[in-house]
Amino acid sequence: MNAVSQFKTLFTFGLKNEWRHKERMFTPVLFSLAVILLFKFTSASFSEDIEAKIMIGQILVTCFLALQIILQRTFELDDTDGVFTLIQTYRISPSAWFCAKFANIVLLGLLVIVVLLVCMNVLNPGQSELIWMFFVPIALAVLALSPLGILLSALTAQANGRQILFPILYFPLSTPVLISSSSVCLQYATDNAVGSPSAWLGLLVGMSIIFFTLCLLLFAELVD
Amino acid sequence: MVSKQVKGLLLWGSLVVVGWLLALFWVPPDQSQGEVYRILYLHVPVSFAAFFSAGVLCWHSIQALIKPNVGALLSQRAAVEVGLVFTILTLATGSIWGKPTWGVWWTWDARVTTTLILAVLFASYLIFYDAIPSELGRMKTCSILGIVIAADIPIIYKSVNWWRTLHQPQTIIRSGGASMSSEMLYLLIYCAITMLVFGFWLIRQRRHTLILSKQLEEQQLSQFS
Repeated sequence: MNAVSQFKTLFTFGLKNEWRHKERMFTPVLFSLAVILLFKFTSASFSEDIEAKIMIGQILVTCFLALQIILQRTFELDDTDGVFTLIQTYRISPSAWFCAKFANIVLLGLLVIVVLLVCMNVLNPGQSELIWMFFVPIALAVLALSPLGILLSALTAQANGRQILFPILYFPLSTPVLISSSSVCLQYATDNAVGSPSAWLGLLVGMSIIFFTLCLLLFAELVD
Repeated sequence: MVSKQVKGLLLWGSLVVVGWLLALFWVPPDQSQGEVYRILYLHVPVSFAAFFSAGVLCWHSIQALIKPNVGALLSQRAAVEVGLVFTILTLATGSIWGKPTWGVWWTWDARVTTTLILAVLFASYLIFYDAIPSELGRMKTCSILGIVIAADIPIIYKSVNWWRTLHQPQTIIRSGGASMSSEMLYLLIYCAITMLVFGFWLIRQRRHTLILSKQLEEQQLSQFS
């Protein structure tokens, strides 16, 4: 079986697995809905431009934490099923495994973003156009953070106290991506008054490519 | 009899101290910042030493991935410990410099924040190192983490160009030459080089201590069994 077929099999299997364990799939979505509703009911009313800035923070924080829930559990099922032991006898391509995980997580991440933006749309009907403009920078942030999260999840899989170790490593490494993503959103919200978003978008794309390549190479080393 | 370690400490330490004395009494005060700028001769060299430690970490991480050996792993740990000390010193001296020039001890500026991130990453590496029970697992995972941490260095270095920031832009390595007078620049280069050598010496010493403590531990284990 070549790497592409392995990727297809692993990707489909991963999706089926997520669907079979529906609580895994829906926990991040429900979490993000609960957080965004809490934000809405606890925040006071401000002027329109401040509301827009607060909204960026709310969406990014919620999305980031929901993604962390997804990433932290990336290898939970593999661990339970003994995949780490199985791959010692049945050789699978680490790249195919990584790419399948990446595709699964990006899909789940996009699901969270769409649900989140729809919810924000319902809660802030006046800002509908602006809210959907945030989709691209947040999706790019998910693309950049997913490979990093997969690698860190695999790294911490065998560590003691991984529930604490994962965020300790993941939060600082994800900061540049979050800053870039929030800057793009801020420029959309202020109608490009603080500069052009294209440089930030370029940086996000660059970071996505660098993180993906680096993590793909290192993941192969890790499971070798 | 004076040991090799004390001799090294005296030699490299005195070279560093000579640089500081020259910074205090030889170079003229800065036109805009006055006397306070002299902390530059400590702040910049320690930040270079912190970056250098991350470079050493990256080098030994790659080495450990290509050819796994305990020496490379211990070198990584030594580099991280020394790097953490230098990063904390960078933040502390930056904070002391920031108070009279920016008016605050701390600000969430891009360069300051990314340097803090580096300190957190170094500290996380040490926690992670102790959290992996098996040595082989530790070798692989810590090496991979080491490379990921080193990838943060270009982000810190370029942060002053990428983000709108309070921190001054690159002063030494930039297009159009350095924006300092030659005597200030030469002394800064001297301080940076001596601090880098001192940092390298510290990493080597710490590695040596770690090897000794590992050997002692193994000896005790064999006696016990």
